[in-house]
Amino acid sequence: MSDIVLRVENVHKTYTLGSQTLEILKGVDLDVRQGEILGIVGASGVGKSTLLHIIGLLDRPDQGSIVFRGKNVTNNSGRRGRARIRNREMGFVFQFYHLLPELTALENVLLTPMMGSGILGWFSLKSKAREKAREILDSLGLGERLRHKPPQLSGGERQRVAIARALMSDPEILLCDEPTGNLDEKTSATITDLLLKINADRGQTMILVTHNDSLARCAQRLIRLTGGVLVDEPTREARPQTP
Amino acid sequence: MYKLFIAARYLKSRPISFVTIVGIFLSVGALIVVISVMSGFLRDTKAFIRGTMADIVVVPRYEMKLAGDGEMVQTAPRDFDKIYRIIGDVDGVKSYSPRFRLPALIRRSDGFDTYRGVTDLNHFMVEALGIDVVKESEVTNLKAYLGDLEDKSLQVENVDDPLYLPEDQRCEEFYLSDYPTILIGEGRCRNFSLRKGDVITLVTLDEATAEKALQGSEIKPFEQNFFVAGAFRSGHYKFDRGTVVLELDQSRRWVSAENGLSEIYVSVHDYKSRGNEIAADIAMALQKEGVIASVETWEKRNEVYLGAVENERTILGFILCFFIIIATFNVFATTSMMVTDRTKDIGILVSMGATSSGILGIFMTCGILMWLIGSTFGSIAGYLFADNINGVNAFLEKVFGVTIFREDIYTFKEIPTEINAYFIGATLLGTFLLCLFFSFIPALRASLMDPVETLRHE
Repeated sequence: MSDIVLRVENVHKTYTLGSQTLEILKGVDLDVRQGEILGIVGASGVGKSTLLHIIGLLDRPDQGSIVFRGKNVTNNSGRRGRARIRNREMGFVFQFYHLLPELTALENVLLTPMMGSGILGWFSLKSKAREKAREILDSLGLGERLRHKPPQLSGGERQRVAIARALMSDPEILLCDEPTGNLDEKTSATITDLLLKINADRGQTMILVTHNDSLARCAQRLIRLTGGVLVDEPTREARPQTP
Repeated sequence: MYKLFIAARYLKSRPISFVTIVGIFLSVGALIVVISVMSGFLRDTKAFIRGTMADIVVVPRYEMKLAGDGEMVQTAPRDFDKIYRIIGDVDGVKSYSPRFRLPALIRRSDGFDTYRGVTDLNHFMVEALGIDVVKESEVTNLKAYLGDLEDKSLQVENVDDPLYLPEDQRCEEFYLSDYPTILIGEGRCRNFSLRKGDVITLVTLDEATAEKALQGSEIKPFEQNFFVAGAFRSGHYKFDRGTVVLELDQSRRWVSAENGLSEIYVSVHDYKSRGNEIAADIAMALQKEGVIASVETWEKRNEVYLGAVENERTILGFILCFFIIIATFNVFATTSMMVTDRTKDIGILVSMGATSSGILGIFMTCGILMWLIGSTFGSIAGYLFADNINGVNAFLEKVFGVTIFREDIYTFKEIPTEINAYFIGATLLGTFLLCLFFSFIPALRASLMDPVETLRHE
């Protein structure tokens, strides 16, 4: 638990809206440890998703850096290098699932390894990748839904496909942006349990950005983003223990 | 790999992309068919003209001679043997044949005429062409035209002596007459209901008589009856309908012009590489001997006509290229719509590890796939259509009763086509470049999108 996988160093981010300049992040520092579930909470529009996008190398900070496994990946990795890290080391789970509607559940999951290999590489990898994708989907209770397309799946099923897709490359960090934000209470609980199980079974490092109290309670460490800086939340006694 | 995979799925899920593919298919196919047919027309037209003409045509204009007072004066050429000798001595000349042309009116001698009552003189106008039968066969395709008839009953008795007509084949009415013989185009024979052995009458004027007529003097035209010895068919409409062929000496005697000569047809060795050079040599050699002549290759002589056919092909190709541009412009519209529809996907794909060049690649692959499917099937269909166009024509005629190609107008037995692999390759390459360009613009827009913004896109 003490190994630091990712470090956020003095990250600043400013947005310009018309004539107004909004400084969303004002020197954020953060360490993410191996195998932990880190929860980031805060009011709407405070910059939680922006911070997650910067951590996930989808966005670039105006100042500061992201250090992944000891290497500054913000400035030194180049576009291709950052894309490779996103493909192999990070998995995203979004509030609105963000599955490609033209592809089946299985194909959505297979897209991750497909993007990491060329044509020849893919043909040698294809059968193994299919087997692995089936296993993951099966373990998430979607064994019967492999050939269904997203519009044919329920919200909970779509989110499980999105989690399967994120896990397909065995990522170092799972970045979850309001993963239960679009689900009903019962389905949210199922997804929360699922994330806890993944953390327990695989020792999966996770960053959860959420409004949801029950999901926030899952986090082993909770941080609040307020006024552009991070503040440690006190440990909650009501927080359930990870299995 | 993912670019091809996603691009294929994007295309499959959008019916509009099939409209674009069909547009490319039709425009590529149409261009190949039209250009193949036009190339076929050009090729056959050239072949027909070529068959009725020699490699080089020499028309002696005048001769420069030293007069008694030491002045150089122009005179009409008289010493044709000298001209033949000069031409024959030029390096590369294979053979030559003198010809004498006379404008004439033709009618059936028995008075029966399918054109009775017709006032348009064009129906009766012909060019009487006097030739040396043996030499003519060495410089033109006359022999071949004598055997290539649809109505075999009009075929000459002997292709080596085509003007020979056995006495027993002469029509009874003029059986004892000693009229000379003549060859007539098969189409003209059909129009005038002429058979072998029938007698026709030709009426002509020579240069001097024509001049008298122009000055208002009363003139007596030259009239002569001929037995029809047979027919010819070159496939060249103007030649077949407008020419009758008779013996050179006979044509001269007819108008009392012992030295009558209109032109000399010359055939040469290795025309393709040396034609122009030999023509220039002939002109030079004649000039050295004081003979000023017009010397032209067959291509130069038909430059305007062949140029018009070629120009027609170019114009049609140019117009059809616009159709291709419009069809490929649909690639731009379709790809732009895809980029707009799939804006959110761009963010998802980037979050999964796609680079901006990968996003560019996905949408350009969409354009390339539309090109590949449309132009591949378009060129195959165009090729098959052009290759079987006469079968299609026959089918349409049978089913719908529509005549697309009228043989009597073009005098081709069937629609000529020439399918050029180089042209098909150039069409495919041009269409590819257009599709690449038109898909590049929206693809570039997609690749420059901010992934974070696209994830927020609703």
